[in-house]
Amino acid sequence: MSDRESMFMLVQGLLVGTMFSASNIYMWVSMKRIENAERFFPAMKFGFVLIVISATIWFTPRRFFATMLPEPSMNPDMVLPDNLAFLALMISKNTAAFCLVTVTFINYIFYTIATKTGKVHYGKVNPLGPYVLIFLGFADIWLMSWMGTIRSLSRMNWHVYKVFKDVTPEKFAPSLAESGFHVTTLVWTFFILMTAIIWVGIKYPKTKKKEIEPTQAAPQMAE
Amino acid sequence: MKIDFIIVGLIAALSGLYALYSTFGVVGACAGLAVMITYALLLKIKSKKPQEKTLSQNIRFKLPITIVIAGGIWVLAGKFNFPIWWQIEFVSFAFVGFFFFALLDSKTLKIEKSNFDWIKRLLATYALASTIFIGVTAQLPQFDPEFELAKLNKPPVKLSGLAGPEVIAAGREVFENNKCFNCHKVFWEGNSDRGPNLGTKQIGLYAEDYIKEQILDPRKKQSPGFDDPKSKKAMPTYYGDDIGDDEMVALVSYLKTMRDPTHMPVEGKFGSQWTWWDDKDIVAEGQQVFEGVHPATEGLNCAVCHGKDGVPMMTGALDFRNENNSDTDKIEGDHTDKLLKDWPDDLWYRRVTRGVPNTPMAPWGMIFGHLYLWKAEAYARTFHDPLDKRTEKRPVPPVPTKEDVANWKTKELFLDPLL
Repeated sequence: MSDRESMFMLVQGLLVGTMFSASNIYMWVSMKRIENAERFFPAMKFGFVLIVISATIWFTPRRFFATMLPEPSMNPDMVLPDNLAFLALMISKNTAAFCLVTVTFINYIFYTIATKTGKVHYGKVNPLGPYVLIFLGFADIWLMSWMGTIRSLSRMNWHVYKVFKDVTPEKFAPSLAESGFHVTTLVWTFFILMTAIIWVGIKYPKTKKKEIEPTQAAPQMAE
Repeated sequence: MKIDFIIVGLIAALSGLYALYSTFGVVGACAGLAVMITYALLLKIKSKKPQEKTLSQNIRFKLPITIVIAGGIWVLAGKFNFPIWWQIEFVSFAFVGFFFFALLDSKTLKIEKSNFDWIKRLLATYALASTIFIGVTAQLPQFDPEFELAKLNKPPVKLSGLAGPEVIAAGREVFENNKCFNCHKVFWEGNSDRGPNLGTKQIGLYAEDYIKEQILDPRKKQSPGFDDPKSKKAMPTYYGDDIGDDEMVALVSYLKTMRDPTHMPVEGKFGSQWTWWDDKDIVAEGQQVFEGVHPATEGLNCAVCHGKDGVPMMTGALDFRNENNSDTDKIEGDHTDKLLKDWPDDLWYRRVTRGVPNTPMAPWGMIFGHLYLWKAEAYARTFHDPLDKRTEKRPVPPVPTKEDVANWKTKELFLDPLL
């Protein structure tokens, strides 16, 4: 069903863009508590412009319908003209990915230099930071689930290729909206389970503090 | 700054520039250089501590700027002929940028005072992520699963009771069901350039056995221009298992219809294509056909009249050496004033396949495969336009449209039988 999954790949691109953006916003928030780090901010803002441009390129599809050829009820004009099609090719996507990684790396270098040359006010981070991190975690898990969905939907056979063909009614790729809703439900389930596990772990710790016994002298070897 | 950092940075910058140059040429390298200079200049700015802004301040200062930028993007994208949906996409991303910059300059959040505060914020974070992801997936174009399922549940093609156009239509169905459009265009249809456009390549000129072999054993012979390792592995090798005998017959029948009576076949990847006029291998094979030594066209010898070295051996035979020669006036209602050097592809094809009445120029298209006649034409041209003296290749013709293909049929440009 690979030709039904171009829009799935588009969403994947969007998620990757979101992840890089969130990582860089977290670095920005962290740098705000470092003295003298503001000298990097204009350059970092330019990096954010590059991130938005790269994410746009990654998201740009060759066609805005979900199949290789337009099907009934689809608009056949939703295709990039041939002279602009390069924006949808791997060469452009790779450049965009390279740009995202490079900007993040440059921002990380700024962060490292700032921590070494300025005073860090520990404990004074903007509370927005942890929530950006949580958002990043949510986006990561969502992306992993989404990639699993793509893998699962692209198969037409069960695990033994060419031996056991999938003939179930579910063999078709569900629509994007349906998949998006299911993946979100799964990620919520995962987060609720993880929260429950952590909560139980905190509430009922495995080991209790033992009273420290006074150390005894080690037995001497008989001479 | 330590010298080793400078050296490592310099190497990284130069490597990046070289990568951009080798991928996108001078434009890429210049863009990379511009980015580096911008970074360097911005690092020189003596920046004050950033002013944090409230939501309303952010909207007041940044929204008008964003609207101006978005308007500029809209106009610019329109100038470059981006369809409206892409214009909407680019403008949407401009507003994503607005959101980013508003967030970067936003006021520091208040510290949570109670458990309720952080639970509220945590749930809001999850809700924000969920809303974005569900919203985006719901708004992007969808396909109809019912339509999809109905297609999958169709029984395989059986040829019994089918004939002519029905077999071709069944072959088209096989082509679609096996997702050949994922990589191949057929004239104007499809939008992937991963493999050759089977229409402009005119795969229908080739023998049925050859086409079948290309489907079953695609690694045996690569299409010209697709010799890179990635392309060599691109075409799956499982179609022998997936496509039944009847389906294969239907598919080949459909592929045999892919011919263009108005243009030379086109080879190569999109962006670096060429026509057979400029293909030295084709011209070499065309020479064999022209001189009557090609095993596939036994009985055809153009050199008998037009001369092996281009000097006509028979009165009235076209002298291919003179680029200013004119078209024959012996065909009533079919004459062009264009000189030989300006002959369009379809005139070459028509003159060779249909011949000139009452002359030894027979309608060779009724006797020999057109695959070879196109090649002979590519060679004949070299008498007045030698390959080694061409400064540039002939332009690749525009991809025929749906209307063009319909015209070929209504104007009866195809011969019957079509060899």
